Amino acid sequence: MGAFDAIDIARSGADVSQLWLQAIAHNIANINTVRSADEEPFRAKLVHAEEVLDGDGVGEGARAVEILDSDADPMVVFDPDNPLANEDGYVVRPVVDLSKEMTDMIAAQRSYQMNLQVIKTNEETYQAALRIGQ
Amino acid sequence: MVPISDQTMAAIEYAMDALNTRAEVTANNVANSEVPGFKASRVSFEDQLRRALAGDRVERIQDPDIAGTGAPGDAIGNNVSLENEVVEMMQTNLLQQAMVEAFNFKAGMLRSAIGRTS
Repeated sequence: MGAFDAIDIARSGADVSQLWLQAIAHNIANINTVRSADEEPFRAKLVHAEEVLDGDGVGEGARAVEILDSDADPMVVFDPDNPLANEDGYVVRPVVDLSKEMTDMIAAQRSYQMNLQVIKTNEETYQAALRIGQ
Repeated sequence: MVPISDQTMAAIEYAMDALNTRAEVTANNVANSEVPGFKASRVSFEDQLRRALAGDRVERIQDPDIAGTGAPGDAIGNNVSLENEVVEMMQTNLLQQAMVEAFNFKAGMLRSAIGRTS
């Protein structure tokens, strides 16, 4: 832990939010990624984040641990004209819940903004501390 | 006791240190506001400081308390309220600035006492 810890902590939170926004963008970009029913479907990416603790058990930010695939059930549809369809004429739709992605995007964006606000406010506080003795 | 580092100075120093911890804990709450199972914490030091000032032993004051807010969690078991964190952050910022002003005021008084005008 250094002198400007609150700013580092907020940066770690902004990093996680940024990664989350990227995952959401990736999921929405693949909303039409159809594959043959014989293949594994596209699965929405989920960011697994957790709190970071220092040696004394005091929180010092957040971090992304891993990127997980959604394990929701895929939708297999009969679409024999699709060139990707398997021998029986089935394709598999991507496992992406658009309404979940949209609400997650709001949460991720707010979280990102809030972390930047924390950086800004604490920068002001540290500026004030620099005026000690002046 | 050395007159330059009196009770007021010691109290300001302690308060600034504790406010710094509070700013970090608040930043940590915001950073983890979407992490499943995370619980928000608060720093309290005002009571310790008040007791220490009443007892005239500011130097031996204990570290600030860090404890959970105990607010109910949401669907992902997280109980951070961003509104509360923003208010907490603003208050901490203002208090910290007030502490700097208080310190500078006190330092100014000491300066005049030793015969300097600025």
